[in-house]
Amino acid sequence: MVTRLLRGAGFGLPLIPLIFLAVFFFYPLASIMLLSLAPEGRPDLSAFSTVLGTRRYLDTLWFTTWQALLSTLLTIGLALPGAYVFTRFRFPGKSLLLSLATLPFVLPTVVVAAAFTALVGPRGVVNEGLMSLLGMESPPVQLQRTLTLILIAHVFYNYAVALRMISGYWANQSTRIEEAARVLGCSGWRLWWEVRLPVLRPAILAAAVLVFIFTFTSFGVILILGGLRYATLEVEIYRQYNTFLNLPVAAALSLVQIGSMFAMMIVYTRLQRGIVVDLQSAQQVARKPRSRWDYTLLGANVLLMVLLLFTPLLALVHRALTVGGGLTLTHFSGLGENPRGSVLFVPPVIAVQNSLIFALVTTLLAVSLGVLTAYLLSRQRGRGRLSLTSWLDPLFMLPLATSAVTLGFGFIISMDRPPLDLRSSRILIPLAHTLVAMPFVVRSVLPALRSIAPNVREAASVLGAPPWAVWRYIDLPLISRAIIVGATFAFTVSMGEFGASLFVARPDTPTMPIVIFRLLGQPGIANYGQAMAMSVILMAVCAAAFVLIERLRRAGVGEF
Amino acid sequence: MLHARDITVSFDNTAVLRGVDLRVEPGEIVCLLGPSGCGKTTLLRVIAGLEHADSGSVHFEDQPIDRTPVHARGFGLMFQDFALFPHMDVARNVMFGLKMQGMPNQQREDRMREVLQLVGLADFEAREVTQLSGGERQRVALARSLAPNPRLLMLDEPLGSLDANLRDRLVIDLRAIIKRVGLSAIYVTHDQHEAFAIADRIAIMNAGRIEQIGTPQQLYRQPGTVFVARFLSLNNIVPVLEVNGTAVKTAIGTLELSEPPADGDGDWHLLVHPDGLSAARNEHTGCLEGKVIECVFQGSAYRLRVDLGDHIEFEFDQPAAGNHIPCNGDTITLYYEQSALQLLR
Repeated sequence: MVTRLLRGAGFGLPLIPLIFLAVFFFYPLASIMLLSLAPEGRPDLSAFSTVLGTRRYLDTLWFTTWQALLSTLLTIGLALPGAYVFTRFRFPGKSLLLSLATLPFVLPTVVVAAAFTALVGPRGVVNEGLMSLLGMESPPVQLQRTLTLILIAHVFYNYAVALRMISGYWANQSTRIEEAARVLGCSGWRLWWEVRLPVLRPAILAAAVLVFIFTFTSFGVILILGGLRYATLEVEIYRQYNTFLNLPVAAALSLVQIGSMFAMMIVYTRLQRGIVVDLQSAQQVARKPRSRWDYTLLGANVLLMVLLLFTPLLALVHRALTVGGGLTLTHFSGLGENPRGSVLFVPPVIAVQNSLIFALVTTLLAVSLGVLTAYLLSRQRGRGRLSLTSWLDPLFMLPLATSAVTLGFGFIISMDRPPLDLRSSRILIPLAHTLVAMPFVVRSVLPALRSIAPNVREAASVLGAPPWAVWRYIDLPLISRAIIVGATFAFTVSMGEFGASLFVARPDTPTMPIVIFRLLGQPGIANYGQAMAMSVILMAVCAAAFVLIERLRRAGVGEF
Repeated sequence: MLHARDITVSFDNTAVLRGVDLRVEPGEIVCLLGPSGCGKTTLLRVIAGLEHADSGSVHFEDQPIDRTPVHARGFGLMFQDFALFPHMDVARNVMFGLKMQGMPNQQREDRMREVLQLVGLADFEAREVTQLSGGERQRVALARSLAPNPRLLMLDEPLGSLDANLRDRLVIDLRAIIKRVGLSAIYVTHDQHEAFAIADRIAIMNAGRIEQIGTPQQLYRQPGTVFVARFLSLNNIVPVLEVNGTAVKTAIGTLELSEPPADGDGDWHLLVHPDGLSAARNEHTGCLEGKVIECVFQGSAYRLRVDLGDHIEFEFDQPAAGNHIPCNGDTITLYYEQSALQLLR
């Protein structure tokens, strides 16, 4: 009887993630569609014709695409020589550098925006230094609210992604191909043009599409660094909702966004499939740099990485810890005070508490649902069910392909009335975060789960272990590290999530990224300093999580 | 024509080549034969210009070419995994070197067809290289190296990734093609049979040195060192206790050479060539006693393994026709010819 109950529960459990996805992902998505296509309950395409007929929205769409293209070209262009250096040369600190270069990937957008403000903003390290050095009255470097700064921030974010994808692929290509070309008389730029680029084409294309997706949906960077002059689709959706309260237009824009994202995801998965690693061939072996040219190339790339990736973060820490040149903790202690109740309704430090609670709830939800999902996906591998898995797998990745702003907007318009009225509930934030974080848990746990040979479980059963004991003593120990990686990802994603939180967070329960965003938008040295201080705390949390993930990943956990 | 002089290479303080000297004459196929890790591929890569020697130099037609970059040497190199360009079809692979030479389009295509014809792939020009079988890839790789009329063709285990049946056939084809074009070639392999089939001369390499160089017949008949003998599966070797004129004292008795060794003392071993061993009494110069421990039927002959005492075992083939074949455990007399005795270093 008990056994039967357990077994019944075992079959029912994997349905929970499906239900979760239906209620908190597809329902909001459907609401967006409904709102954009039939705002009054009957088919009405006026929102769409507004979007397609208004110069402003078309310009937004154009700018979104254009800046994404530019960012992609710039990122790939810089990452390609980097990939060459990382594939070919062996030098001290190489793996550490590669590891550190990946740090931006887990950094919240607001922290990155704050860091670039700290570096090249009007009150930034560069400007202050130049002003005192040259005795100038006004900041000489005017990058705030320029496309240049947006592009630099995008490169900062995506450089390591492109570098890892291209150098990882390159390292697995046979060295012989290039040697064959050289013996046949090929050298210099022709080697790049005739051999290297064509050989790397699949990896370059895949990296380019991924970077394009990331920058196409860029929100925080543009909102904070771009000011009112620049708006991507994401920013425009937020403005339509927040400033103009034009919900049908916001919904129509969201639908455009969803459509383009899905199209790009399809392209990306196609390209990914083209990446086949030829394990039989002689793989690249990194060697010591030899010629002066080698050293120049290596030095230039390392310098670029250090400049691009670390100076903003160092500037951020510097700004947070100094006032007028002196070392101080004023900004940190200021976080505990309630600043006149104008910007924030609570002292900023409350946001730390909020973020931690939300992140813990998110982690709990994402891990439980993610592990259940992983079981659902790993079990459906029997005969005839293969098609179901191949269908389910991308289904659970969909939230990752949906922009955070769209998710947040969908939540707001769908959960403000019965049957699901959660508008006043704090749970909306962790629910939204869970949607974004769950795919990371699934991607961590699924490979671990699939690597457990079925006969190991069978052996345990034969030896007398009931189903719960098989799970407890066989499955759990084997997937525990993967779960930790997934949990850490979920925690980090939740701590730094900005786009969706901006929609669903109530004024009195702000998260850390939201407080940083609000503080950065306020005048005054105190607000500025506190934004820096808060960003440093958030950066420290994410960096710690990142170190943990890197450690476990080196031990061979997860597929990323 | 090609002369690699005193080449030394080390990787990470491990010596890979220790002073190798190699000459290749016009129209000659020289084979570098040795176990993996002996440095044969590294030597090839130094000659191609893909590796730099720590010391020594490579001369081509009496000109040093150490400072000539890979792409300007005008050599052909066929890789073990063929290294066909995966993003090009057969025709473009073959024409690549011609394109680099700046040959006009029409001539390029003519030459490509000519070379494909030569390797027996006349109708393959439009095929993708990913859709070819192993043997076909090998031919495309050969065609690609031949197309630009290289001054020297190098082949690095070109049959290594193919199965044995195919290999026996292709090695003969390969020699025929190289000889027809009249190329000088260096052929790297670890397979003795392949080397015998293709080479005019063989250089046997061991631990970064050339142990011995000569025609296949010379090496097989008169190996100079224990390593060369064992590498050619000539395993009937006994340590020499003392050399006194032509008398060689060993654990299995004192054997008489036809002439004394040219250079005096040292650590000698004695090879009793299996081709000069027989269990049947015929023209011979000496005999040994032993006990049969293995007798394997091999078709035209039986392979006998005989224990001569003192942990020394000899192996030889006894023709099956018209001979009495002993059984395991039988004590027999082994007759050897004086020409079968060979002193080894």
